[in-house]
Amino acid sequence: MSEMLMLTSSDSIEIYRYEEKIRNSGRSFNWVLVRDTLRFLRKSKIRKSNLVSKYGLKLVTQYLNKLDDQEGYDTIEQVIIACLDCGDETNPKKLLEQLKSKFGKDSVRVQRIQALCYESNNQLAEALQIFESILKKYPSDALSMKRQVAIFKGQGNLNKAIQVLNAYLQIYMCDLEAWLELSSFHISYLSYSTALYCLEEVLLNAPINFVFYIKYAETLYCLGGSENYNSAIQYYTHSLELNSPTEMDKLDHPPTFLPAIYGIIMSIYSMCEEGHPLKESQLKLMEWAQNNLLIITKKYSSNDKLNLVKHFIDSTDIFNKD
Amino acid sequence: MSNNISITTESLTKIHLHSFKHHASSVNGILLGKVDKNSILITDIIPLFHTQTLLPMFEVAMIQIEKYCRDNNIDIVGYYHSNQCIANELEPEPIAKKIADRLNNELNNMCFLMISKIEVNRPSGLVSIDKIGSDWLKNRKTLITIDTTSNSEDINVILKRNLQNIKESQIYDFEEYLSNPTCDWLNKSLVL
Repeated sequence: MSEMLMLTSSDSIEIYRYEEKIRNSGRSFNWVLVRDTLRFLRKSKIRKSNLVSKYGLKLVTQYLNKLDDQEGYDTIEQVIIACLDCGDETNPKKLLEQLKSKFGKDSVRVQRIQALCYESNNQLAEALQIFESILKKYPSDALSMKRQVAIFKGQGNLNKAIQVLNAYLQIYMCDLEAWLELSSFHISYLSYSTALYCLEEVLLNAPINFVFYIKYAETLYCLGGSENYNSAIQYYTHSLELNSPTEMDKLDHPPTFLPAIYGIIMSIYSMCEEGHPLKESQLKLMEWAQNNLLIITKKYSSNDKLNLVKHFIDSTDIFNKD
Repeated sequence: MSNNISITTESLTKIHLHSFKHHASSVNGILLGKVDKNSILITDIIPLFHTQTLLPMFEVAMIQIEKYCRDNNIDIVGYYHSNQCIANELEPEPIAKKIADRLNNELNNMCFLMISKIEVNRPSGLVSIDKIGSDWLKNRKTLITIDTTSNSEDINVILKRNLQNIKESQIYDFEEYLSNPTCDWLNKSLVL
């Protein structure tokens, strides 16, 4: 799910730049660069466990005194999670002991990390027990509830995961990530209408993020029917308003609105296939989308793609039909 | 109908690299190759998605893949999928069954493979999912052999080498092409 959020901002470009710098620093360990990269990753919540476990581990074991207190322990927590993600079990244990001695075994944050260690070792019952005991004392501890959802999802028990997630969302109605996760559960069960409801909450919470409008439109398309294709077109065009193709020349990276253009073409074509009459504005939109698709393909894609895209435009054409 | 399924080393490597690149998601893609009455040879793959597969972009991909196949004298022979969770590793998600059903209806003969662990008694790491009645169920007995005519290196050796060189970051699927048109979802220049 975080991949969806990454697409939106310049975060993905920035993390790429950090990674490049680290790669280019070669054998010398630039602790300032690593500290800044880890800081950025904590803020943007991008998942780069290989990077964090490799460089972060060195930072917290050899350069911990260079970091100020609070940041040092934040970084240790970040490195523990990254190491667990990479399947490392020995280093997290050592670092966790460090945290336990500083903050005590009863600290909620330390307990959560302990539960994560259990999770990674497949001791799910122990992990769930910890989260239950935390929730008894602090019934609205968001992170514990979310980990419960994650455990149930990992066990393949989607029904239970949906149950806990629904209970969580009763309390935290503005949690964008949670609504996205719930929508993805429903999409994997092919319950597209319920997924649409969740995506509507996502859109309410993040109305200027173009990615979610595309997601909503695609889910509408899955439901099918002319009315839904019609609505899908509106959401696709709204996402284009937020991620404007007219500024394409000013971008320093390739355009990111191909799903919207393809989606518009598919939706209009599907409406036409169902015999639904098209408005003048939709015909113009179709023509514009087809042209733009060709322009983007000629400018950014390799030559062999042009043939395939031309064929796609021909197959979904509504203008030259008999 | 049981098939003899054979897959080239390169295709197999690509499938595993795709799943390694998006290790926390479910990945899927289309298998290309040659098909006979009861044997299938997979010679290439097109990775498709690594988040949920939604219909419109899937259809966009299929239209372009069909044209690519016609132009290059190769057939669509199947579909590969990997679940997001290891817990129910070999039970296909509903969307995977839907896609497999659609391909099954359109093609004379096809295979549906799920990605699993490479082991001694499963050298390819793939398991065939067969249509039994109206459902898709795993069939561990279907043997999937690795076709080593163009590359006889052991799959474990190739994968290890590529993962150490972070080669998996260079395999692009259709979804990445959609967010960046410069990505080559045909992976033509990928050297393993």
